[in-house]
Amino acid sequence: MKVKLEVQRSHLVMGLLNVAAIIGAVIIVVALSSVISGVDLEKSFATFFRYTVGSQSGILYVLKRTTPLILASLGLAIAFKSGFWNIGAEGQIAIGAIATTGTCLFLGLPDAVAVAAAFILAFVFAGIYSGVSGFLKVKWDVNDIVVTMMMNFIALALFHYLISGPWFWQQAGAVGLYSRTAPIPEGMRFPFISPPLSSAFIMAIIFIFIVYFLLKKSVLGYQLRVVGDNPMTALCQGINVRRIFTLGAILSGGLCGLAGMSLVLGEFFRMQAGITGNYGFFAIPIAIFCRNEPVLIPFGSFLVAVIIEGTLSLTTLGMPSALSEVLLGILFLVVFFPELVGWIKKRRKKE
Amino acid sequence: MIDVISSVLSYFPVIGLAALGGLIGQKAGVYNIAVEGIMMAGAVGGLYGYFISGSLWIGLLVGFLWGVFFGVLLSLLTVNWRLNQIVIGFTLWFLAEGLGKFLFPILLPGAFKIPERFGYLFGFDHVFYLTIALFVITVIIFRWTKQGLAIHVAGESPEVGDIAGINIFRVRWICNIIGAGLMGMAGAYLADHVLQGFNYQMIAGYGWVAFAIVLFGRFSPIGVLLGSLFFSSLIGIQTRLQVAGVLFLPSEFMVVIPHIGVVAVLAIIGILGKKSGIPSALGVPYKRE
Repeated sequence: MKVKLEVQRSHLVMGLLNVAAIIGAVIIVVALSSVISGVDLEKSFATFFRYTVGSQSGILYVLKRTTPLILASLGLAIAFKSGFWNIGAEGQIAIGAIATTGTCLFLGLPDAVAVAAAFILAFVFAGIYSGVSGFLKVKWDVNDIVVTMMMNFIALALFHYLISGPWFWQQAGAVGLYSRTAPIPEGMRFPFISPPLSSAFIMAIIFIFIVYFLLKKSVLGYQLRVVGDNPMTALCQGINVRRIFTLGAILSGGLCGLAGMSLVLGEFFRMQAGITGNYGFFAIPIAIFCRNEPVLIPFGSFLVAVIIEGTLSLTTLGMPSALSEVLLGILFLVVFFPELVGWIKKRRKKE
Repeated sequence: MIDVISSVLSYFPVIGLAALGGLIGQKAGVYNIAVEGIMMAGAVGGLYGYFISGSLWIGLLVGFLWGVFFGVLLSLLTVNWRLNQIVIGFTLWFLAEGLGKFLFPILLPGAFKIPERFGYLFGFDHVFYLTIALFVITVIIFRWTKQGLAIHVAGESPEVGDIAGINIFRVRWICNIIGAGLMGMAGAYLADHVLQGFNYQMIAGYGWVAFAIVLFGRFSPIGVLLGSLFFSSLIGIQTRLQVAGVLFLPSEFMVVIPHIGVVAVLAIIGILGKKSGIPSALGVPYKRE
């Protein structure tokens, strides 16, 4: 069966322009910041390159980071298509991680069953967590941006409470306190493709196609888009706006929950502080600058993963760790470069 | 008694200034979602201002100027170039927060602490009164002046305002700049006076609480003032209880009481179906035909 991928051509051109602008911005910012912090230019570029796309282990580390980014951005793409400003991905990832860890450690299920149950529960719990905000929005017009953001703080509070309280675990005889849970049993972990990359990456790739078909080829995807574009039209077509909107919110949160599952079962094999790694926040601009196109999202996620991994490697040279945030901020401004070019052209024509 | 109240309200200028900034910008029709980041940048600016001058007021001013910088960026991108305000808000949030955290170790010595505080008058510090005064001025401007009417029109129906000879772009630019400047000032106050130093998690969602207060106060200055008083006392009581060691919830949950409060209050307002008072043209870029 031949599948023809349907991406709007203008979006593709925009995407390519974006990538060029982003690579330019990365080069300029890395150069500037190494000058500011007094690091040899050549050395910082060499380090950046070696730890990202310049070596086999570098690429594997980048792909490992790409996995949760892909899942979370796919989730957000669904939400943004339906007009739901879900910025609670970070919290939904945390809920997914909590559900996964709870299922695998405390339910006492056989290995295969536990993984299946974790998959379902991570999806369901995170889905409900986001679905509540979606329902509040569509039923009572409660501001979704504020509510989903606040839900982030609440979910992360629960996360930190669990790892330092009821689920806290310490290795016998270990010195020092780490807030973390017991490790997940070997049999429940995602097998490695080639360490450190686990097969959670394959799950993410599969979901790209699932979300692509959902958004582009299914009735539900069509309904989601209509609800997002114009709720009045949706109403006139007999679409149950409330149900579709809430369903979109649930699917969106569910995918973010799976990102949390991939972090626990594919990377850290336990819950510990900081595993959600701001992926939920990085996913927002990824979904937006990929124009919510599932096919573009892996590339956007890869690019952002390169930047995170690369700037992390630069901290070993003594640059501040906040460099990645600055770089990403500038990057997301650069993303609008093509639109600016269009705007300037239009203005010139007028004159 | 008075010092109990003043310590409960110690976060009022932080929340109040940020919420007032949000109100002014949104009243003119532009969302500023970057509050959290602008506060972080403002905090670093505030500390740097004190570091070079030794005056807390200069610190506050530098924080304000940092805010103005992001206000200019926001206006340029959303008012002139008509990009999506929410998307740009996020972008500026990342940029501002990243810049703040990036510049702190470069500009200031590692464990920089501020040894003094703003002066006190009847138990409250000077910035507390400044915040109240700014609220009063805002009420006066919104209610009784031509400029207030222009802001109102820019947010409600810019087309009509344009016909009436109001320069919508200029109104939105000014409101964005003042609004973002107040947010930067809120961050500077938080760093200079309340925490007297810097840590990487210092903003802790206060910017988002301020953003929610604008909705909660239904876009009226008095509503926003009451909302700020309410939520800042939630934060104040929470920190006070933690310091005193009174924990009726695990400490992780104590910290998020204000955030839970925001969700609950907004949901209740929504369910009761109160009018939201949201300016009709909020979030819609104005385009001159």
